[in-house]
Amino acid sequence: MSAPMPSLISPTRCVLLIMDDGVGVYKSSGSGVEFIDTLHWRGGGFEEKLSDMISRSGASAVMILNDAVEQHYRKEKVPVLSYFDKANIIQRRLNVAFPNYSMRAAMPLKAGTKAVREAASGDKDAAKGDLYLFAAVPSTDAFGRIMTALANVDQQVVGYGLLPVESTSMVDALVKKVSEKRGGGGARWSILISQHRGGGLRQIVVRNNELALTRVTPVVEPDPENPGMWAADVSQELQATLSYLSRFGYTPEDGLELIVIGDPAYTEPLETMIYAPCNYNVLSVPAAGAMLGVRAQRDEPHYADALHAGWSGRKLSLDLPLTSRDIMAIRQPRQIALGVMTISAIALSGVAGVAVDEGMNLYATTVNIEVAQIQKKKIEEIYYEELKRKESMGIDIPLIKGALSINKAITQVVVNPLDVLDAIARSMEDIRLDKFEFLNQGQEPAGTQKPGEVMSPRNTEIALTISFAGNIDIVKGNEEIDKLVARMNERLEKIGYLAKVETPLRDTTFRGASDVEYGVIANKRQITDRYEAAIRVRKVGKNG
Amino acid sequence: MVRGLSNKVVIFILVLLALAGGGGYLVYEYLIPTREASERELSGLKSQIQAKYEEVARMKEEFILLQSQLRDFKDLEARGFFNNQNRSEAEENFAKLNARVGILKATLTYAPGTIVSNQQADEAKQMVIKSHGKVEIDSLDDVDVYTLLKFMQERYPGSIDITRLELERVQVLNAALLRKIGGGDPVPLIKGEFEFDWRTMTSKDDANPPGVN
Repeated sequence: MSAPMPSLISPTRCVLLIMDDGVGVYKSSGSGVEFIDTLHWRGGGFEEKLSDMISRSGASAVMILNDAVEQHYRKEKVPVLSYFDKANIIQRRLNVAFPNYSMRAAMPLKAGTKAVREAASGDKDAAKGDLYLFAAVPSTDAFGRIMTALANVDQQVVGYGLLPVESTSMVDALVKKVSEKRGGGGARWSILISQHRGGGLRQIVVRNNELALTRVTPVVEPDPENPGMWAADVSQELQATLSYLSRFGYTPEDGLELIVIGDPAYTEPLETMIYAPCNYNVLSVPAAGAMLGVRAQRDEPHYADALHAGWSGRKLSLDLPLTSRDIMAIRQPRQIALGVMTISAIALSGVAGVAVDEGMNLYATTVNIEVAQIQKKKIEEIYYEELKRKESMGIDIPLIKGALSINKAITQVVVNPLDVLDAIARSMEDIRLDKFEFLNQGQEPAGTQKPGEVMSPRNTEIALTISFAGNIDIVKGNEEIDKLVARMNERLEKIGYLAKVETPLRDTTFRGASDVEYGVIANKRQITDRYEAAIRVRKVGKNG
Repeated sequence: MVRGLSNKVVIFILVLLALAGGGGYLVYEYLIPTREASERELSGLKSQIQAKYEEVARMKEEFILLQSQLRDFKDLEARGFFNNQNRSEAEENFAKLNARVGILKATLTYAPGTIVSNQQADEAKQMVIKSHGKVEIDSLDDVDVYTLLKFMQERYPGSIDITRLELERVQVLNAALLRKIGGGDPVPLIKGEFEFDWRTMTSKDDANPPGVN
């Protein structure tokens, strides 16, 4: 059962109440319900007037409620079906139940569900299938005229419902409110009696929150001069209804909540005319509206049709929407159109959002570009000023940098032979060099090096040649050479060189060859002979 | 136009669709590309500004650095680092040094000079030139040779890079030699030779003077 939406967000709808002698037009919105007018079937220009009223109501959708006499109801037990078959089977059962009525609908009754009846009877076999309320109304000429009027307007069609079915929840809500107010327990049966503008007295009988019976009967118009007459008429109708109730299983023990909506001037005398045991409640239309949250804009205490229209108009969807080809022919295209409009509007909003976002970004970027251009201009001015300053000072930066860099590269690899020769000379003591050769060769230091290339170290070495007299003690001579190398290394190591004996005076180990002459002549000749030793000094430290 | 819908609704839907479609087309076809192009332009500008800032900062830094480098550069300039290695001047310079040292005999030869490829020199519109020289020496004392070398390294324009030095004692000083020397006959006790690379920088214009190929 669709509950009414909170009044603040309830949509603005035009409710058409089909009665036997005409159609009542109401505007239901968040601010309440407003009776616009009643159009009689016999009046001229019915369709145009109705279309005009709907258009001028400012409503976005139209809801049709049937409050006429000819409404057909039947409770049917439908076997438990699979989800996919259910709709087809129910439709088929509806066709069978109401073959002559084009507008039909069915709704499951909560009290009639299999689970509830199983719990009540305790017998699983006894409770097979669910109970459904089948309803149908004939497609009359009057309905066709309403459809014609609807075809001429652009409003959405919410649906076509039956007032007693849609107002069952209203009865339930009212009963709860009055019970709370009274502080009593809830009765199983409730009857709502209200008079509508068409003159009919609508009685809605609800059992366990579901529609049990409804009647609409003509009664006399309330007469302020003789309020008792209306009450007497109504009491008779109520008696008739109560007599029906016993057929529906009503017993006085079940409890009965009776709510009569109308002007208290007419409804209060009614209490004395009711003999059935019940909780009698009298509510004026504004009072009932206040309980239900439906505000009737006109100060109408008696006729309750606006209350029904306002209650149903606030629903998101009808509880029992009747369908027919005529309704679908108007409703479906408009629903599709609404969907398309909604999607288009969302798309347009999205596009607008993206456009605004992009536009703002573009604007921000444009502003930033302008700022950046100013910055660029300024920095270029600074750059040219700096350039000019240097030019005016006659400084050729590339020349200075290049010359110093090249000179540094050369200086790092250039070896001054005098440094190493000085160290050697200071180590010589009494020993004299016969000859030396200094070599310092390697890669061109002033050439451009490729990225990542490391200049290979230069090969720097000095070959020293020292001679000794042929009559010297070879062992001592070798010792002198070794001592000389040791002395040299003390100095040379500090400047990154290392000296080694390359050739001793003579190799006295097993590796050396021996060729010695003995005798007087040999001794004489030894004085003029020379031994030669060689020392090689290499650069081991890094250049520069 | 459409069954169940008025022309007004249909036109409204079409307008909505057209607006959404047209708007989307404009946004994706023009607005977004324009914004992207602007962002690219901004990014490019920022890069240019950053590069310029860095260049200015570098120039300022260089300027500060150059203040200290300028002295070194002036020293380098004073040492004749910028020299075109004119052979007659070079020979004259060597002659002066030799005369000052008092070498008995020195024979100087230069190989044809070469250009050393150097990017920094190119950027400064200069070039590094290198000449390989060789000196053959006869001397009374090896100290004279060392003195000559020291003078060359200190007073020669540019950089002198000694690549080879060979000295040999050819005679041992004795009374006979001493008398000979005392008699005015220069007798070399030391013979030797050294080779060197002489590097200087010169402008490209100097290296190719007009009329010389």
